[in-house]
Amino acid sequence: MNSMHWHKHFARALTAPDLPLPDGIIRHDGCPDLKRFNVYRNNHVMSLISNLKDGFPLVLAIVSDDFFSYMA
Amino acid sequence: MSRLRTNINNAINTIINNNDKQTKPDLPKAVGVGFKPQHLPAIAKDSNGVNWFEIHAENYMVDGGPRKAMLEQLAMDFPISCHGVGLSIGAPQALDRNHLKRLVSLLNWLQPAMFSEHLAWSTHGDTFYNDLLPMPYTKPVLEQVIAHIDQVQDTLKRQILIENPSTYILFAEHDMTETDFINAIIRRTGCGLLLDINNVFVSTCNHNPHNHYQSAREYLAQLPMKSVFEIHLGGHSVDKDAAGSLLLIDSHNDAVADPVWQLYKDVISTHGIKPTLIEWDNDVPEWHILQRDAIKANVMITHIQDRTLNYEQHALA
Repeated sequence: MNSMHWHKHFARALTAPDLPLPDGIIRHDGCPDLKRFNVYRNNHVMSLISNLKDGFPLVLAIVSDDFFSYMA
Repeated sequence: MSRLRTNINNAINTIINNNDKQTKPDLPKAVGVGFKPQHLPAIAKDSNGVNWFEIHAENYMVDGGPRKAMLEQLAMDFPISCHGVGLSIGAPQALDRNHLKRLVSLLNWLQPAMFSEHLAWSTHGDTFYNDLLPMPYTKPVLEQVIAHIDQVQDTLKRQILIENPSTYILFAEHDMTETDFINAIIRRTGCGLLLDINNVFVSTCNHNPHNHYQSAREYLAQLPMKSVFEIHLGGHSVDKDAAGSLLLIDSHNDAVADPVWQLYKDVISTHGIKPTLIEWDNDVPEWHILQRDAIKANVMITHIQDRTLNYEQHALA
């Protein structure tokens, strides 16, 4: 990967859970590890849910935190 | 008459100078806490153990409103450190000029004791990911990061601090270590280091699961400690990766973990007291729970100070 490609591949895989792990993303033993990459995917989804909660506080109060997260 | 006018002018200048935010003190070498607006009433009643606060810059990039009024009130009583989470210094694309303008405007208004950002990226094109994402440690990426830090420091006309990241993956194309990368940034740009000890522990556990405590100590030994002007302590959560190895996540949703306290004690014993922040950003607890970690850090600081004082008195005797 050149100095731009890592950025493009990482960003694309971040928002597309169906895409495989980008080439060259590894754990300490040199193997790919989807669960580790999914920490970033999960953070991304959680931040979107958090933004929705901030934008709809009344809905959040009515339906409860768990149900709002499930709906999101 | 003219003397009277001079006296009045002097009095006015004194008032202006006293109100001038430029005269705000540096960040004290003591304990601060990440500010959450819901804590303001409790802080007003009891701020024992807390000497300064840190805010996330992006939460206050607005023209006015109740949130900014709260910050103004807080800043009258405490030194403030301003922590950016959205500049995306590590992305190989131009910095967002509008974001930089908003930052300049906030810092001119607030005049915080410190401004810090992350060794991370959060944008691709126009998309903002609201996370601190990792980058390969290569020479081309190093040059991009240095150019971005130079641009930020030139625009803000102040030294900034860069925080070491917590990471969960590595890039096969890394051609230098993270500490070499950080040393090069500091040497070339003159920026300082915000040492996040929880991030050190999280990353070293994730990338050296069989020898993590020693790895964390080695990582710390390779950092330019004279350039550390602030320390962060936060909580993490514990998971396992696909191979069953330890996977720590920098979740900021819990109290500071014991091994992180131990590393903190080692750092301040060896390198002296630094302004120290307790971070708790998710599942934020009641004020007194946060205050408990602040008081714990204060006890460690006092212990080190007493030991240093005893040593100096012993040396003089």
